[in-house]
Amino acid sequence: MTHKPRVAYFYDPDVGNYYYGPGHPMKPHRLSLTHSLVLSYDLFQHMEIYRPLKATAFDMCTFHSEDYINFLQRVTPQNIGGFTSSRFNVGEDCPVFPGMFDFCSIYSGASLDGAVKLNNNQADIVINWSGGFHHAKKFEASGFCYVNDIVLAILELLKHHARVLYIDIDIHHGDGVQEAFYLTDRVMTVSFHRYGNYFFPGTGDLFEVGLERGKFYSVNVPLKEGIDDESFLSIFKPVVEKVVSFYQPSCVVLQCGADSLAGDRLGCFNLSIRGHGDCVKFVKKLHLPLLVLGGGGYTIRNVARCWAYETALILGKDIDHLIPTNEYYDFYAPDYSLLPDLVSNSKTDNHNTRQYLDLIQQSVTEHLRMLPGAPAVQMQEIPPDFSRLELPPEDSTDMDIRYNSYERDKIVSYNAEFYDLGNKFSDHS
Amino acid sequence: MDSCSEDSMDGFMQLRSSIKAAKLYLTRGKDNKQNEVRVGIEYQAVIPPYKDVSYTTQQDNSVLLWIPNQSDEDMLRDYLYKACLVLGDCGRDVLPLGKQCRDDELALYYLYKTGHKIVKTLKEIRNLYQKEGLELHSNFRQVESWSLEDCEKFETGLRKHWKNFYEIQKEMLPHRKLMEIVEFYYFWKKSERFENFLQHNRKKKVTGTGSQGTEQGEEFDTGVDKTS
Repeated sequence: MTHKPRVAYFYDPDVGNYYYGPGHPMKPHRLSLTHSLVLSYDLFQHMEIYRPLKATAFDMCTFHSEDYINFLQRVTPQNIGGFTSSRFNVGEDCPVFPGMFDFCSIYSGASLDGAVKLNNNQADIVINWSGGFHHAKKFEASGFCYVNDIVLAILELLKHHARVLYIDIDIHHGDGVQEAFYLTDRVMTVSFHRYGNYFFPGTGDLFEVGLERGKFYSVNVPLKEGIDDESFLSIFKPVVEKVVSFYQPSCVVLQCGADSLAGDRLGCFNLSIRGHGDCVKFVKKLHLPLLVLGGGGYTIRNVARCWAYETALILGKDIDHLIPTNEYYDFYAPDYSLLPDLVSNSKTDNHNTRQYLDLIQQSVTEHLRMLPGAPAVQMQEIPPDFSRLELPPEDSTDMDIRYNSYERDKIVSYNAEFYDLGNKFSDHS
Repeated sequence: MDSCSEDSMDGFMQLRSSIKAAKLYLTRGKDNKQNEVRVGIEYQAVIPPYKDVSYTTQQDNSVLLWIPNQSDEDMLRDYLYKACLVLGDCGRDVLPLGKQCRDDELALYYLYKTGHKIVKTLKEIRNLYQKEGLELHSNFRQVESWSLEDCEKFETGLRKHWKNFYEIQKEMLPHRKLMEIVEFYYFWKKSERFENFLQHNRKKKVTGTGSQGTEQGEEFDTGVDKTS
């Protein structure tokens, strides 16, 4: 295939200005740095730029529990004392910060709209560096993640794609996405991550392969610290290749957490930006509709470098290794290089022996052989595209006041297909 | 060296047992190992049904800001440079400008809206800017000019509350939005004013004014500078 992919890029100028709190390693401002680099490299000349519409609480409830989303919507640093917040795991790792719900709405809205664009065939590749919050669970926050935009986007994609492949190269296990789709064969999750010694989140062992219909549709590649480009790609490529040939997905979601880079504040891998980008390049070459998301990444200058470089890879553009002047130019001192040598400064040795990697690969291959081939999907009526409906505030017991009949009809037709929203609402009263 | 190889040996044994468990699990097909993945309606997503038909295109929710066209790259660069001069520095003129220059999707947006006509767009944004000033940006982000006074208040707040921008806003800069303060911080910390701020804090450290201030100064020396 020689034609250039049509790329849609989602960015909200506000998203970089949310703040988790003093000393918190997750810094949304890395997104402003990334965007500034992308613009200054003239990459806008080759892609459409969209400002996402915020996702509503209703959108989020296609995956998350209503209680949890209601909580996220209403809690503030001032009123948190009035909630039993331990129930939803907010606190230290996932602090309640001002504007938290808006932040979630922006990154989730971008991933959702990206999915719609792919479904409508209005783009071949969609980029949302603000998304990729793979730890969030159905009813609780985890690992700096509140709303799981990946699950929301995949649920949207599933309306038009029989099988969706999810690939995760964040250094942490993509546990939230795996858990959400653990029992289904319509989504295959493949995560490459650091595993062992209680490394967060503690899941992602080889034997977690899925259950029931979803058995063998979760793939985990547990790695040890210090893995370098060569070792990583030597297992990434064959595993992805085999997964694709066995599973035959019609669409791919790629989480590009940049905490797998050498020198990350929280990570302990030794990938270079080029090596990280090679994974993206490899997935791009599958020539399937692709949703590219961000994720972790805590040394923000390198996160910006990495994602700007990968934007260029996706567009198929060669860009100068010298960073052009931009708003955040001084963050890239002293070398001002796009691809600095991150690896030779690293103090971590590669603990992944050839033997170890071979064993894992062998085991994953064996597990893939258990797949009955690409699963067929029963044909059913397609549900309508998601529309941004607002949930009534929790305290409204009389739904008629909040909903006109048109809106209510929309809700009924939307949900009657797969679950009973009526029950969910009556829980409130 | 010894401890390292022992460690990897250890890891190797661990892996072998893990693979053994996995194999056992795969062949027996029974959940004989305590599975850590939680299963139940509280945990999994509800999967929507699928139908392989083409369907009418849904109206798009997101706002299209920019579509590229085949305009001359040099001319486009030149336009952005000029637009940047017209649109100003987003109100951060108080910070000495280093090599940074503004990149703004606003300039792209106007160009896209006028059908990629560069001369016409420049004229238009010049007129608009004369009329509306910084308000022009408000489609994209809230911008209000940072005065020297604000900047000094920000620095005082930083000494007192460290990077608790919420407290800084509440006490020092109630007329500014929290998000503006966060954005300003990232520009400020790569400007000369940050250097001066550090020196000032170090001097304080030497003369020993208040243990709290000293700790915070150190935080800025080490934590802030290196990690972000």
